Amino acid sequence: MNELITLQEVVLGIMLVLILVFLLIIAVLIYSFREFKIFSNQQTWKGLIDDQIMEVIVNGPGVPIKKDPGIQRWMRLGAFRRYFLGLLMESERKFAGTAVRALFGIFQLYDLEGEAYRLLRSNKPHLEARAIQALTVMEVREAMPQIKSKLTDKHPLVFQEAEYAMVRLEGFTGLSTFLDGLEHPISEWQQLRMLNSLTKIPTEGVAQLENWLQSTNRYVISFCLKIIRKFQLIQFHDQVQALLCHQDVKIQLEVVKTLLSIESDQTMAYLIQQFPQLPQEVQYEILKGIGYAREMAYADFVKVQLQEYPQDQGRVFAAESLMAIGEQDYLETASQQAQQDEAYLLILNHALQRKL
Amino acid sequence: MSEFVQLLSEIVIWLFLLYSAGIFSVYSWIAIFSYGAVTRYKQGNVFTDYSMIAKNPNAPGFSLIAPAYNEGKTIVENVRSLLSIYYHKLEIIIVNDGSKDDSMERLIEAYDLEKVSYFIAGNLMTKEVINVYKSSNPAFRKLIVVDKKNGGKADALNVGVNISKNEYIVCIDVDCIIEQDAILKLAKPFMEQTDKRLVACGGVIRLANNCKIENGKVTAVNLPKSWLGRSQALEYIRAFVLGRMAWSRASGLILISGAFGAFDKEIVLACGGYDHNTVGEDMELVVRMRRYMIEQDLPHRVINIPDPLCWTEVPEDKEVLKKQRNRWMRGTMETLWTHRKLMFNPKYGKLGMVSLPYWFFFEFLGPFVELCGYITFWIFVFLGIINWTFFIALYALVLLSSLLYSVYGILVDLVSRQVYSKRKDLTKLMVTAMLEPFYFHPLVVWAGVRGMIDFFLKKNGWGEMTRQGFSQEKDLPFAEQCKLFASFLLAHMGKMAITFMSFVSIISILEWFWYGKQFAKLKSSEALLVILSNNLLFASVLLLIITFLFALLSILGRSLSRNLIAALLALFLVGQAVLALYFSESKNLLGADLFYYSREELKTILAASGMLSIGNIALLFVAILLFYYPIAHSSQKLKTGVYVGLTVFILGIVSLGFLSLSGELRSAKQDDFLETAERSKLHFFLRSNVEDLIEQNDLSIFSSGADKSLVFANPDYPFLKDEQTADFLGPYLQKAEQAPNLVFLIIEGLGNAYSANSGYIGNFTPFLESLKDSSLVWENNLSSSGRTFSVLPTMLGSLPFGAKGFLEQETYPKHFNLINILGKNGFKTGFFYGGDASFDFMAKYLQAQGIDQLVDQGDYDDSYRKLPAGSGGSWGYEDQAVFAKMTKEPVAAQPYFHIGLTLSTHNPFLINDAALYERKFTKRLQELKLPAAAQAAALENKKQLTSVINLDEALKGFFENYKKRADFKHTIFIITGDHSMPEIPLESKIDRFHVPLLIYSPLLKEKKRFSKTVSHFDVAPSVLSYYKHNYNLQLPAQATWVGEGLSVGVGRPGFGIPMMQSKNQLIDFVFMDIHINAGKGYKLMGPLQEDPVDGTAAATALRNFERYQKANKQFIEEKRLVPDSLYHQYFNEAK
Repeated sequence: MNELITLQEVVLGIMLVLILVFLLIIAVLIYSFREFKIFSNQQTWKGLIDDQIMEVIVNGPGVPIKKDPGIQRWMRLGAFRRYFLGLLMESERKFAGTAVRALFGIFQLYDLEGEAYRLLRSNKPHLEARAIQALTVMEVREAMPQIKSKLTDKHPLVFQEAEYAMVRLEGFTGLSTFLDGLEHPISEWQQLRMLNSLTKIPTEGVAQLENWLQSTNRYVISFCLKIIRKFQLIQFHDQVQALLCHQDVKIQLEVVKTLLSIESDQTMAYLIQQFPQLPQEVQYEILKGIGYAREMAYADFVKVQLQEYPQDQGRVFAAESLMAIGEQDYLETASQQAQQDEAYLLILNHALQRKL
Repeated sequence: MSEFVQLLSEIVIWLFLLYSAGIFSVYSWIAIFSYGAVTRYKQGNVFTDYSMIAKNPNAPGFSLIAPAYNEGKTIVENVRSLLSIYYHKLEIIIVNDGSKDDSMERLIEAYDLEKVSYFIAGNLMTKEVINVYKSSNPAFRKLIVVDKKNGGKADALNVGVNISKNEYIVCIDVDCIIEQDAILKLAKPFMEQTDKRLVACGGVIRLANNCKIENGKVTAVNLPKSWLGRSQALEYIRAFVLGRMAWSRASGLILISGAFGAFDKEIVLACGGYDHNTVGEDMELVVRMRRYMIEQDLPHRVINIPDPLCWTEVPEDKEVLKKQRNRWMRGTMETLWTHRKLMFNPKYGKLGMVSLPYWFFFEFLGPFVELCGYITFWIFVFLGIINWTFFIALYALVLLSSLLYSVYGILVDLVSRQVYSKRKDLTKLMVTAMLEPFYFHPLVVWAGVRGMIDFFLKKNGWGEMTRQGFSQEKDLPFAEQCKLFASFLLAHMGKMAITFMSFVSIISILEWFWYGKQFAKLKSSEALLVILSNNLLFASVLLLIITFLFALLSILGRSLSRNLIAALLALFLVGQAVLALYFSESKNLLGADLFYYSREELKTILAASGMLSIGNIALLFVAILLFYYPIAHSSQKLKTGVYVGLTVFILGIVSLGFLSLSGELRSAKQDDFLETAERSKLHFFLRSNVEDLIEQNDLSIFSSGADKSLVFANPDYPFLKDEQTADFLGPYLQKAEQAPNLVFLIIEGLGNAYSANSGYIGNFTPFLESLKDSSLVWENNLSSSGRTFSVLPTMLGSLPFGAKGFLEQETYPKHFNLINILGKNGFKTGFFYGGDASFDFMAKYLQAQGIDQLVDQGDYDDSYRKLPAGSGGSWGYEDQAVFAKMTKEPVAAQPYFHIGLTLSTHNPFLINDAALYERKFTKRLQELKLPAAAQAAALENKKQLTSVINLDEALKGFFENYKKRADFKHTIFIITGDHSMPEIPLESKIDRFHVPLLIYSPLLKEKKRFSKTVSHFDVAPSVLSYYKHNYNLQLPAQATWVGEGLSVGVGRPGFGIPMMQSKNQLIDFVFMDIHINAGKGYKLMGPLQEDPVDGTAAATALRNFERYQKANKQFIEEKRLVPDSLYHQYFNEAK
């Protein structure tokens, strides 16, 4: 019977793989050397660019910026231009006012705007995203149409940067270009960035916010609630209150936080009224909120929860809230009376932050 | 090799190949996938402004939990490092797990801690919490310290989970250094989650060893100093940057390192927290969390981010490292066992179908498969079935693949983060990658295997993991270090010596017992004492030498050196046992001649003796392990001090002195065999090899110098002399019409001791004895060696030995011999042998001399019988077959010269019709009426002598058949033995070489017995001289005979008779009436009896021995015997 494969063939196969592995090692070593070279170059580049930035900032806005010959020599390298862009963006975070203007000047001088546009057209998501970041940070408003077109890009990296860019450059108006009818999720991180960039809400924005509160996308609702909280938009109190019955617990939590932030004189009463129907996490949030808000009027309610709440964690929050409200005496009296109930005593002592 | 073994070996090879292909594929996938994961992360986070998270009230809260046990040395600075972490909503929970040191006191003092009443909200079952502490200093308001009863790391973590307030927990080792922005970087993935809940997130852990650390921060990154540390740096790069990133991207990650990992607290609580019952609690938790999410049908993710967030100290001590890896393996096994239901269960998606099977087959089974690979390799080597080309190719592939993976890991690390950014560090990492497979990798494989064993032995627990802290230890003074080292050496050596000597004693006693069963003279208690003493003496010397070796090897590492020494001692013990067994079978000491047999020859010898079997090889391995483990563990278990080691050391010196000055002990009774049997076989073997090595490399520092009296007639060709050998045979033989045929019958192992009436065993060759009555008989004939290897060159060419026997040479120098001379004079030449003629290079030599016909085992058909095979292979065809072949040669007008070499009287002495010949043996024994002692000796060698009787009968048959040939009347038969059987005990040192020599022919005029001492060296000169003087055969004018001819023998000064005991032992020489053996002289008297003589009497013989050795050495160096012109002139004229 003939063998399917002979030992010689196996050895030959192994030798072929061996040669391939050897060639791969060479290739990896060459690539590693190249990467190391880039890293080494970046140390040089950093020095050059930092010197240019410092020179421009120190000289001030009136002094014309001279191109550094060292930088000019490297400008032909794509890797250098991208690195330059990145350093400028990092520097923008560190400085403010005229220093930032100086950075814009450098951006223009070395035609990094052109580089950014090139990257935007590169069809590589990470480069497009970087381009959008650069154009945004450098406040190139002329790029808005191109950036806007990226709002519908299929790659999350790209459309998220585009969204952020819209908000950063156009504020609330920019937000409304994509938030209407938005279907994809907005992560907490993205919400954080956009919220950070929103500096004011225009009058006409109120109607849009009302629409967004009705969105089927819970992330839009959540974001909207954060906006209301940040800008203390008390006019939305009733609409927000209405969302307390939302099916999503996370939305309910946001609602409670928002209500406590824009509360009216009826807010707490409403929350207490709804308290029994609400999920446990939301109840905890309410109990904590009473403490943060120092709502002395509702001390009795909290005392009841301290006594009767089924979970110890809830009783802890109740006790902490009572402490925040100023019911220390009550707690101390209760602790003296509660010698038999070890868990209750512990809760009271915990809230009183009793030292042993 | 049996077909079954062949099939089994192929299956094993294919299994290993399949496994290798699996690993190769998986690692290739990891390499490709991880690169994408790392670059994707880098691209998505390169310009992230993490500070946004730090100051944002909506950012998630983290509770950092750090269990601590006996961390008093460093805990204060570790906590300070944690407090400097830049994150707003952070609480730091230090859980003191019942430390026995002053950890709590130090913390209380350093951070103004006060006991507070604290309600623990969590519901995980834990050991009792004694107290909770918070700082009265607002600067430390984030800090909570929990003091609890000891319950293990998992229990401490669970306490932390119970106490934590925030939604995410970060579990770390307290002595890890966390990057200041670590929590910020961890927070982002949790903030980025949308539809799939992120339940766990890990980061890259880097090595803090040898890094510059100031105020709890890594300020300068350096590679660890030790190779062990560097290997781990490389390993961590591969594990975190490649492995974890690939699995993370593939949603198959099931391990977040316990040193640093962030978890969703709600899910941790829902799963029941960490499991106390496993040492791999980190992996077990992640698997359980994933399992929970799948069972609840909740979309989820477990990811790893490639940012280095945590710096930890790795063990740079091998013992600690082994304990760690042992624990990791046990943790892996515990997790796999706990969640075995998930394996290959499609309900659990990637977790069950990919991740867990990967861990099972490659992470768990990997070390075991590798160990099996090593064992399989050695088994294949011993069985001789290893294909070296395949093995080398595969091994090279494994090494290069490992190197590729490591180098690739370094590249991806460069791309992702560039932690090691100095060129010299990168170079060191590359070098480490090359060295790792030979040093670090076997260590962790072994630790992994031990972990498996410990798992099955239910050895739980962490073992002691000594940490040095992040500060460097002060070096001790050199003198102190030497003292400590010496104590360590002596203490451990002493313990191992006790076990070793005990084993040596046991083996010696068994040796004596076994010999006693076979040889009556070895039954005495005196023999026991001598054997035991000699073995112990040598063992002491061995221990002395090994102590120095131990000291040297300790440079590599103390644990490694201990294990190596234990292995070496185990090998010596096995060697002692094997050599003793060899002696009991062969009656010979085994020396360096072992290494002068080719691999094929060794295989043949071992196979024929039945030693080469799987059972014996397995027994060998078991024996090595049985010796190794007690010796290795004695150094840890025995409680002895330095003084035992010192005693052993001194004993070694004394033993060395004793052995050097007076040699080994002997029984009072003078008996050569007894003396040999009582020697330390291991001593002989090792010494023989050392001497041989010295000789080979010309390392002798005591060169004897040139003796001007040792001149040769022809300095360029020391053996060359005029061919003037007297015609001794002519007067005894009638003149025939043409040159008579010549037949040599060389009988394997035919010694005078049992083939002559004067033999001390008795005459077991009645036919041969009867033939002597019609023959010329030399009663004091000597062979040239104790083995077969030199009989052909000696008898055919009277040739010197060269280095290891004439036939061992790669190419043969031109010389004259019976084959080429008789061949050129019209004789047809032939060699007949029942075995493989390539053995001892016989075929090579004969074919080089132009033999016309060579018959060996391949030339016999089924009508001939092979010798029985026994448990090994058969040596070849029986003597009857060889003789029959010779008899059946066609009669021709042309004269012929035939050489027949027999086989059956060779170990294992298996013959056909054994029962018949045993009866004949018994009958012969009765006929001989030997004295009781001789009879006992004969019975002790029954097997050997039975084969001799068979041989004698075969000879009888040969001559009966040959007589029927027409050319019988014109044939001269020369019958001799190649050497005496080594298995039959010797009475004197010359007995080894004392073999019969008789010339029988119908042409003989008279019978005669000669008492002159002659040798095989004398046969060729005399035979050729006979043909020259009686039949005008053309002979060369000069020749290189060592012998002087049968008329002279040792009767006049010539070269003497050099004799080799084995291929590397040229220690015997006869000159005139003096026999030199191992530098000592013996006077030959009567029928080759001998008595020792003093140095003066032996001086001449010794000097002539030197002369021979000098000539031989010149021959070895110059590789020539006769001038080319003489050689060519003779053969051209002879045409």
